[in-house]
Order: sequence, then C-alpha cells, then structure tokens
Amino acid sequence: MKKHIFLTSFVFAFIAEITMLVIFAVQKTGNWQDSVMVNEIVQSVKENWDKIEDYKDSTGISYTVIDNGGTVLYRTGAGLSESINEAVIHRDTILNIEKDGIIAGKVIIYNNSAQEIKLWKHKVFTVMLAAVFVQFIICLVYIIYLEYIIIRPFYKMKSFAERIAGGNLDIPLEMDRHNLFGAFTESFDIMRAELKRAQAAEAEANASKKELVAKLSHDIKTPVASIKAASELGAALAGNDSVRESYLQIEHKADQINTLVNNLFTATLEELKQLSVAPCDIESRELKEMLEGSDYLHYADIPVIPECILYADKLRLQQVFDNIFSNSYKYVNTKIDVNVLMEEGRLKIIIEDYGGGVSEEELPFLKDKFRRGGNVKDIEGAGLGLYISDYFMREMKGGLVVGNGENGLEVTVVIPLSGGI
Amino acid sequence: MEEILLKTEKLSKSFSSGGTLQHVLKNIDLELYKGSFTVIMGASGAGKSTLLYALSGMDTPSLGKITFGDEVISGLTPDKLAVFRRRHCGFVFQQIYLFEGMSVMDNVLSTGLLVNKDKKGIIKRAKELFRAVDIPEETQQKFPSQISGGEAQRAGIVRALINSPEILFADEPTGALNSKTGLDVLDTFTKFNEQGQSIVMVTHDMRSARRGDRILYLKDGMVLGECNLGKYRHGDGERHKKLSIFLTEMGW
Amino acid sequence: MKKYFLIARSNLCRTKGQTAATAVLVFIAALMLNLWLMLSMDYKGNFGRYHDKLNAGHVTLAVESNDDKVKNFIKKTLDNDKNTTQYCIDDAFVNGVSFAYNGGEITTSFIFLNKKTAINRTVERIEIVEDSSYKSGIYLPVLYSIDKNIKPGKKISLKIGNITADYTICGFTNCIMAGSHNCVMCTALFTDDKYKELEEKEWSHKAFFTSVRIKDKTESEDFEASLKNSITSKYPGIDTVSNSYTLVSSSRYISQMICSGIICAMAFMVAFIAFVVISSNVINYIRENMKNIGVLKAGGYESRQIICALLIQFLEVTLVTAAAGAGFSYCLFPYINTMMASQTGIPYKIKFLPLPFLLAVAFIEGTVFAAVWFSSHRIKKIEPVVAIRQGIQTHNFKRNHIPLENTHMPLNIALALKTTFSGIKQNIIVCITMLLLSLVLVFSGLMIVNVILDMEPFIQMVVGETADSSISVTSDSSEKFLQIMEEDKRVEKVYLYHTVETRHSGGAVLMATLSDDFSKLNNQNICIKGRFPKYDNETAVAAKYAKEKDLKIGGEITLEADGKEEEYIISGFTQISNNLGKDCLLTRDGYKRMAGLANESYSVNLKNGTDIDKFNKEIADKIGNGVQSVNIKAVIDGSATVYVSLMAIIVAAIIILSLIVIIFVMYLLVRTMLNNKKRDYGIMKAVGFTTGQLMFQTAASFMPAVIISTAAGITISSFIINPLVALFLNGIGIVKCTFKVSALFNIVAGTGLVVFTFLAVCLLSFKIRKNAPRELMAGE
Repeated sequence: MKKHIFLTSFVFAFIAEITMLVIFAVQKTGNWQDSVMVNEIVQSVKENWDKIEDYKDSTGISYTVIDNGGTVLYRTGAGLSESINEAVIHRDTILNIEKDGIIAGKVIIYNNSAQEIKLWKHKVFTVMLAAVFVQFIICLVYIIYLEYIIIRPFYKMKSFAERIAGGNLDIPLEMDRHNLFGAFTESFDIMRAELKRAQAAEAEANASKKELVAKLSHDIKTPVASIKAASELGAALAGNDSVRESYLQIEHKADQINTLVNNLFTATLEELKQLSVAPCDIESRELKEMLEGSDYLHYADIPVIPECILYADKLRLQQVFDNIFSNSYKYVNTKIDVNVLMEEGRLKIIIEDYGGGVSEEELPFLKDKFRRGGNVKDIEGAGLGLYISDYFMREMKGGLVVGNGENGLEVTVVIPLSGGI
Repeated sequence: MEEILLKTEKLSKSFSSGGTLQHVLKNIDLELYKGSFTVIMGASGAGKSTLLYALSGMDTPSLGKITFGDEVISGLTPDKLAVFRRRHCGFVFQQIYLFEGMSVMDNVLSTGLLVNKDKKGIIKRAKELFRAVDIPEETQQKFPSQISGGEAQRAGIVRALINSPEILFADEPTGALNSKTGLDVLDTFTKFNEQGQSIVMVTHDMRSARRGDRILYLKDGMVLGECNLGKYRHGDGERHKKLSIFLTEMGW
Repeated sequence: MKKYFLIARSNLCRTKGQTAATAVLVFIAALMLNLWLMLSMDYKGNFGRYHDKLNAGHVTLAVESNDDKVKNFIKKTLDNDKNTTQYCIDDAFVNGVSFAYNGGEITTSFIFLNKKTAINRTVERIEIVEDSSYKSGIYLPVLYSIDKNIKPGKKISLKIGNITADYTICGFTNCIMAGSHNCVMCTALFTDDKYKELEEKEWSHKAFFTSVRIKDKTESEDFEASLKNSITSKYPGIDTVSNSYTLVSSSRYISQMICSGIICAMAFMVAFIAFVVISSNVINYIRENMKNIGVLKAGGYESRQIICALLIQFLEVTLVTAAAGAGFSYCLFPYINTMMASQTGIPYKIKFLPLPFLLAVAFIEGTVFAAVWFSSHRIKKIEPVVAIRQGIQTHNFKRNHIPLENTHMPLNIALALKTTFSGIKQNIIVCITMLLLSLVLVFSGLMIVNVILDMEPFIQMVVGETADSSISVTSDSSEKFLQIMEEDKRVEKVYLYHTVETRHSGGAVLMATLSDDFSKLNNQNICIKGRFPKYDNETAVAAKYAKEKDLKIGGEITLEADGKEEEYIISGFTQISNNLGKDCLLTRDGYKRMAGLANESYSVNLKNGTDIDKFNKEIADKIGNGVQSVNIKAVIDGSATVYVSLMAIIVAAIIILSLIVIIFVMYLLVRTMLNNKKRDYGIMKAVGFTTGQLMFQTAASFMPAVIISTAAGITISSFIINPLVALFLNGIGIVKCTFKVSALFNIVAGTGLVVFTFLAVCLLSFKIRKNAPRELMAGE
C-alpha cells in the first residue's frame, strides 16, 4: 500500500517535471510585444502631442518619444534608446506619430526581451530546483519509511513467525443458516414438525370418538331402565298371557340391551385408560387463556397466575377445566371463585362455586366411575367427567381434589411445576 | 448468612424454533452470594450459557424475576439493561471477543470510559489490572490478533473487571485455550476471587469447575443439584474427590 | 446455465435490501440517460425533420425595399450563384414589432406575409398548425401560443413602429427559419383583407422576403455574409434582416441544450455512483461469503462459473430496472417537452425511440458488467482450503488510530473515528458521492442565487448589456435628444449603445456594438479578457468567434461596412450571447472610419420607480419623427421568465435526486457496515453500550469523510463551477461565466447536506436495535 503511494508520488513528480520541461520548451519566450499597449501609447501620445511636456505615461512600458529633429520629448526612464540609431542597434520598435496626416515624431518602444529572458531563466531554475527537491524529499521519506517498515520489523518477524506456526487453525466449519441450503433444511424441519402434529391430532380424534361411545352407552342405560320398568308394570297389569308374554319379552330384551351396553361401556372405558396424556413444559400464562376458554359464561374472575413453567398436557388440562366448569354450570349455575396458589413445586388452581356443595357421604365417591351426586335430578350426564379428569391429572403427576368449601363444591387442580418434583 | 447479590425467582427462558416453543430454563430459583465463586456445570444444551446470560442481563428471561440487590432487572428495556451491565457486570467470553480494531489497552479503556469519565483513574486501574494478570506494557499496545490466546483472555478479564463490577460472568473462559494457558486464566480467576470478587462461571470442564466454591449442576433447564466446596481449601485432594462424587451422582 | 441461476437466485434472496437499493440507483441512471439520449439524439433532429418537410431555407433574408430592381438584382445574384440550389422571393412587409407576452414584452423584427403566399412558398413553406374559423386577422408563430392571452379569437395589439394595431388571432403557424424571436426575425401571416389594409395604410416598410437553399448548409453563415455583402455593395444604405441555418438551429435549441447538458451530467454522475456502489457490493459479497465460495470451489465450481453467477445476478436485476427506468422516462418526457416547447416553438410529437432506449440500457448494463467483472476477479485468488478454514479474513490492523489513552475526545466520538480509519473503502465511496453531490449542490446554489432569486446576473451574462430603456433617434436629432436627456431629472445615465452590422472580411457577419465610452456600460463583465476598445483603431470581438477564427488579442482584424474595409487591433474579447457569439465592439469613431450612422440608439438608465413606458412616450413626443423606443426591462422580463421557471424545475429535480442518491448510497454502506461489524456491535452491547450510542458511533464514523469531502467538494466546486457552466453554455457564445458564487448559500447547503447525511445514517442504522448480544452465543 505504502509502496503504491511512494511509486505514484514518484511518478507524479516525474511527470510533473517532464511536463514542466515540455512547457518550458514549447512556450514562447517573452519575444512578443503587447500590441494593444503599444497602440495605447501611440494613441495617447498622439492625443497629447500638443502638450507633450505635461504628458504622463499610464501603461508601465518603457519608451521614449522624439520629434522629427531627434529631440527627446518624453521618456519613461533613463537608459533607454534615445535616437533612431540606438533603437535600431537595440532592436527597439519605432513607430510614427501622425498628426493631421503628417509625421510629427516617433515613439521608440524599448526592447526588454533580454531582461525577460533573464527572468525566464530564473523561473526555470527555481521551478526545476523545487521539483528536484520534492523528489529528493519523497525518496528520503521512503528510505526512512523502509527502515521502519522492513528493516526494523524484520527482526521482530522471526518471533512472530514462530507464533503463527503454533497458532490454532482448527476453527470448525459450521454450516450456519445463512448458507445456500439453510432455508431448505429449515423447511424440512418445519415439515417434520407439521407431520408430528398431524399424527397427534389423529390420535386425539380417535380418543375422543371412544369417549363419545362411552358416554353414549352410559346414556343409553337410562332409557333402557325405563323401558324395563314400564314393561314390568305392563306384565303385571296384563289381561291375558299373550300380552304378558310380550311384556316379559320386552323386559328380557331390555335386560339384554343393558348387558350389551354395559359390556360396550366397560370395553371402551378400558381402552380409554390408554388415553394418552403427554405432559410437557408450558408457560403458566397459558393457564389464564385456558381458564377463560372454559369459563365461557364468565362466572369467574381469573386471577393473576404467577409466572412459571408448568409440566402439563395442555389439551388434557383444558378438558379437565372444561369438565369442572361445565359441571358447575349444569348443576348449580352460580358465581365461581378461582384462586391460584403456588406451593412446593406445584401450582394449585382452586375452583369453587356457590351451590352449597355435596353431602359428606357422597364426597368420597364423586370421582368414581358413573357416580353421580344426589342433586342430579333430571340433568343428563354420565357421571364420568370427574373420573376421567382425575385420571388425567394423575397422569400429569398432579392431582384433582374434590371437597366442600365454604360456599359450595371446591375442586382443586394440582399442576406440577416443571422440574419441581 | 451470606449476603445475597443476585436472586432469581421462577426464572424461565424459552426460544421458539421452527414454530415450537422450546423451554431452555425452567423455574429456576437461585441465590448468588457476594464473594462466592459459583460454577455452573451441565451437559451441552443443559442451558448453562442461557442461564449465565439471563443472570447477567445480557438476555431477558421469558418468565420469572431477577433481582440484583434491590433492583429488579427482569423487564428492563434493552438500553436500561445495557446501562445496568456496564455498571455492575463484567464478561469473559469463550471466544474472548476482543475488538479486533483496537489495541489491547483501548479494548479495556473503551469499556472503562463508558462508565467512568475519570480517565486518569481508569488508566491507572487498567495498568494495575494488567499487572495483576501479568500483561506487560508492550503487549498492551498490541492488537488482539497479535497476541496469544491466553494473553487475549487475560486481557478480556481486565476488560471485564475495569469497571469493578459486582459480578464477573465467565462463559467457558478456557474453552478456546490450551491447557497451560487455560491454567493461567483460571489462576487469575482464583486470585481475583480470593480478593473478594464474585464470579459466576459456566464450564463443562472439571478442571475449571474445581476452582469454584459452589457448583450448580444444570440438566434440562433445571438445577439438578448443588455441591458446596467452600469448606475445602484450594488444592485440597478432598475438594477434587467431593466434586467427582457429586458429578458422578449427577450423571456427569 | 441452470447452476448459475441457482447461485444467482439464492444470492438475490439474501441481499434483497442491497439489490433494491442498487436497483433504484440503476433506475435513476437509466431514466436520466434515456432522457438525455432522447433529447440529444432526436429532439433536435426534429428541427431537421421539419426543415426538410417544409423545405425550409438555409439563409433567410428580408431586404427592405419596394424597388423591383433590387428584387431582380437578388434573383440574378442567386441565379448566378453555384452554391444556390433553390430560392423563393416574395413580397412582404418588415418592421420592428413589440407586443405583450408572458408578462413582459417581445420586440423583434416581424415579416408580414400574405397567408396565401406564405402557405404556398416553394422554399420555407409556412405551415398552419392551428387554425380557426376567424376569417380576418393574424397568424402567429406557434411559440407564442403558450401565453394564456394569445389564443385564437382573442385580440392582440401589435406595436408596429409607432403605430399600434389590434388584430384578431386566427391561428398559429410553424415557420422554421423565422418562427421565434430567437431567430432574429419572426413571420406573421395576414389574411387578405388585413394584408391589404397594411399595404394601403403604409404602416410598415415593403420588403422582399427571400429564402435560399444552398448545397452545403454548413456554409450558411458565410453565404449569408456574402449575399448581404453583394446587396449592400450594390445598394448602400439598404436595410436588411437575415439569419442562417447555423444560427437558427442553435438558437432555437438553447434550453434543450442546457437541459440535456444537465441531465447528461446527472445521468453519468448517478451511473458512476452506481458503478462504485456495485463494485463495493461485490467486494463485500466476496468477503462475507468467503466460506461459501470456498465450499463451492471445493465442490468443483470454477471461478468463472461463480463470477458468471454474480454477473447474472446483477445483470438480471439491472436489465429489468434499467428498462423500467428508461421506460419511465417516457412518462417524464411530456413535461420536459412542454418546458422546451416554450423556447423552441417547434411542435414535437413524442414517440418510442428504440435507439436511445437500447443505448441507455446497454450503457447501464455495460457499467454494471464492468463493475461486477472488475471487482469479482479476486474470486480467482481464493484458495478453497484457506477460505473454508478462515472464513472471512479479518482486517489486518496495523495502527491503533486514536489511542483512547491519549485522546481528549469523548469516548463515542473516539470510537467512531476508529471505525472511520479502519474502513477506507467506505470512506472512498462516501468521498466520491459527496464530492459529486456537492458539485451538484453548488450548481443548484449558483442557479438559485443567479437565476431564480435574482436573475440580473443571468440576464447580464446572456443578454450582455441591459438598461432600462433603449431609444433610437436619427443622427440629426441626436444632439437635441442628448440635451433633453441632460435636462431630464429622471435620467441617471445615458450612453450610446448602438448595434450595426459589419462583416469580418473573409468571415461571418458580425454585429458591431458602438459606444463612445465603454466604461459607461452597466455590465463591465461583457469584456472577459483584455479591455474595451478605447481608440478608433481598436475593437473587441466575441470570444467564441475569436476562438473559431483563431484571433488573438493584439492581432488585427479587417472589418467591412458599407463596402469599406478597415483594419482594427483586437483589444479584448467579449461575450454577448445575443448573436450567439458573432459580434464585436467598436468606438463610434472607429465605426465612422468605415461608414456613418443614420440612426443612433442610446441606452438610458432611469431613476428607480420611473414609469419606463411613460418616459419613452414623452421623449418620443418631444423629439418627434424617427424615434423608436424599447422598454428593455419589459422585454427581458418576457423572455427570461421562461428560463427562470425552467431552472427552478431543474434545480428542484436535481436536489431531490441528490437526496435520493445519498439515502441509497448510505443505505448500502450502513448495511455493509452493520454486517461487517456484527460481532463488534454484539460485544459492545454486551459490555454495556446502548443502541443509541452505537447508532451515534455508526453515523459519526461516516462524518469525517462526509464533512471533509463535502467541504472540499464545495470549495473546489465553487471555483470550477463557473468554467463548468461556461462549458455548458459555450453553444450560446458564453466563454467565461461570472456568476456570483454565494459563500453563505454554499455553507448553509453544505451543512445541510452533512446534517441530512448524519440523520439519514442514524435512521438507517436503527437496525442495530435488533442486534442482540445474545447472538454472540450462536456458537453454543
């Protein structure tokens, strides 16, 4: 880099010198005369001819004015040619002054080319000297520069080379995502993730189909029981045998249906046990959305949930909340209190309604299969919700506690913190 | 009871990659004490560095709270965090990360002058620190690319300590060094710790971990266990033994 | 081939922003280039096409006479002349006419022709471009139709000599050689009745309107001179008005010339900046992608293929944008055409011009090709193994600039300066851009100060001498006139300023301006070298003409008037663009050596607030016959507003363009810088620098280069701008410009430019915000 600077400046200096030489060679030396000035002299002398003694020069050129007799009428200074002959010897310019068509006198313009040549030489000498000096300085600077840049560092370099030899060159080649195929591999990754999700969705759909079957089969049992009771009554009141036989047949078949439904229910429920619960890390702030989603009637004020990472299956947890809230809507339909408690690596969500709760005897069985509380009345249901919810929560290494609170039934959903256990 | 310098509550950090959320740190409750030399260990990807950067305000946690002294630093704006960092934290990186375009001295001063306008004081402190880490005057004027890795890392330590930070954070400081120069760097750490400097260091190197007086073992973004080596003197065989047992327990 | 596209596409996707910015530069360059090519290649060609279409003459001459002998003499002369191919002589009237136009006044020689005669001429046919149902009135050149008050059906009052007559405007004509006040004379056609009225009332002088076509049109000026010479030698004292192809073809296209000159300069400037920017883009691309290139090479790609991919990448995008830019210029062309039409007065129909389009696109493509080709050659030097191992080669630092230990500067500024010193390439681009833009700025300043805010300097330069009023009296009544002037208190200054025609023996017709004392002139800048003539054997000639004829100060020139030749010493060079650089100055006594004066025109300076028109009328009434006066101020206002509005538009356009260019160049530089310094910014953020501080550092790091180059640019430009403008205006006889360079404006504009750049960089570097220290942990 520095070498370039030196070379270019050197070349520049050289070119400058050559250019100057060429200019000096080509340029015309002071061997010409400013004819406009000369004309001015002639014209002004002519104008002032009659009063030549008062005449003052305004051009700065050296000249003498003589009359026809050779008398000097005016001169700008001493040492000028003062007669025609002197002027001829000195190669001066001699011009006539015409006055009314007659030559009245002459102007002798002093030839100062010798002086100009001298000036010229001086100028050339100064310029060339300056150029050579500049070149000399450039060289000198370069030599000093070389001393600093090559000779001194040369000794330093020896040790430097050793260090380079020992330096590490094994930075591993890593293909970052900015490379050519980065975007391509990334989309592959996305594709894989999508497939995974689709699979999960399918399994979930299957599971919920089975849940439906279980629920349906349970619901079928109620009308079948009514049919049985009605046919029993019919048989008792029947007038003749054939009618009674028919009623008994109905009752028998109803029993058969009941057994079949029971079988179906048990079978699906067994399968339901395999309902997958896949907990993973979720952020606690997601709970708020889930609770709000379940409480679609907005009976509860969802409190602030402390920030933490929970270990739960988002889908199942949502189902648990859905179940709790829909039960409350179904059976008591009151305001709901929701409280959140952080405790020993667990997050407790306490949900309580204002329905007065259930009797102490019933409490232990609420989570049992097909168990429905005393306040069921005509409300449809399978008595299955809490059972499955409890199962889900246990699978998540959490729990579901049902009890009577101050105002009504209190359900506590216990969710473990990630890494809390 | 030791004085608590830094405290986290349910600190969590998540990253989204390819559309799914990945939780790197989960519910970390941690207290760091003044004057302690805390070492964070764990397998690759356990979240060691993430924890370090979250603690140091280099990165904002997704959830949870970090308290430094009385100040809650989680939730500060990036610029306020930057001001926090320059006042209270020092950093030593695995890749050293000196500014390539500045001399070693300027690397240190550029950080020092950021906080303190007293230039003479800063230069004096820099010189003291350089002496402490055994970097001669001559090296101070060189460029990072002209000095050895060990020297560079020690210069990095000087830069980290120039503002007398409350905590020095070190992310695998010996990771890119060979064993001898690594040892020098570790000695430097021990020396400053003995003078009362709080240090938090991430490493997966047992030799480095031995320097700490409190070892935290991280797994899957959680603190799996911790081991207190404070009662053993440095260089004691027991120290090594206890650490080995702890690490074996943790599944190292 | 597919492979190239693969690489090119993926590169394009990753550098969207840069590509877009380069595309904009290319777009602008192509736009301007195409405009320039259209203007210079076809716009003036339009003149030639119309000239051929109307079989227009090369020399036009109106001889004021009603003597058929004169007519016959002209015929005979032309018949005998070998050079003449075709001619046409018609009876007409000629007179100096003035009328209101564009808020001012136009005064020029009008040739009145009978409509029937005019539209059937064999040479110099006059075309009617806009007609109406009015059967009695006047047809004016189409140029004047831009004035709102000059429309068919409206009345126009013409001041013919001392008579004012109102005519209904019937329509507009297109006359090539006499269709604008810029071509010495102007034709107006009368319907039969009005023509007869003019003839009967003897308002105007009879004349013979002659249009001649000659073999070699380049000799039109010499032909004009010799023809006039032969007429005046035969009939001394006869008045003639004439022009030539050379004069008309350039005088009608002055604004086109100025405009295309500026557009051309801007086009090449933007193209040059695009060249520099693309080169640096490619160099950066190579630096950033050292590893990838290494991998490609290791995978068997040849350097040639990688370079080809780069070429395709850039050429593809620029081809589209250049074509779009060139295409877009057709949207702007109509506006430019409208601006031009007010000066040329020749209708121009816009059509697609394939050649300029292709040339513009080809030039841009060539520039881009060269930029990519030259800067991508270093790819050949990359060794795959080295590239893969080392990736980006870190800068080799040699010196610790601005050691913090010793500096007294604030930290952020010191750090910014460190950055400045480490990025020489950026600085060079900044410098080049700023140097060019400051030239543009100084030019704009020059135009604003000298044309838009105060058009006096512009007028003085273009028109030469200006006064408030010009009054022409017969030589007999000049003494009486001067006495009246002396007594009138409104008069500040009165001096002879009379223009007569002379010929340079063996050269062209020179308009000689006579004065008793040239030191009385308002504009002493007319003489640009040497001095004004003082004695009767001295003259000053137009610098442009002197250059053409190789005349020197101090040399001799033979002038000729009324058939008498005299020799004069050249005392100086002048520039007056009135006659496009064909004039000379003589003292009254000097002219008298050749011929006498029948009329004398005096320029009069009046006290501020004097009603010039009223004054003129009073003087005319006092003196009586033979007085003709012109309100010069009004005339200038009329013709100069066109230039002022043209300049205002040009200045606005180039300032906006400059700002756009700055933004895009800075965008590219800042992007590159952010990319290159990603790691450093990460560390800085880690150790506690805020986004604001880093933005300031980035912006400040550009500032030394910006400030130095802007200051240098403005200083240098201030000195070279006048010669540069003179170069542009050389065509209208301007050799030396003496525009006022406003230091205040330049300082303000330069500061503005620097501040604008600073703010732009701050804004552009806002991206740093996203650069989180976390990215340092990428290696985890």
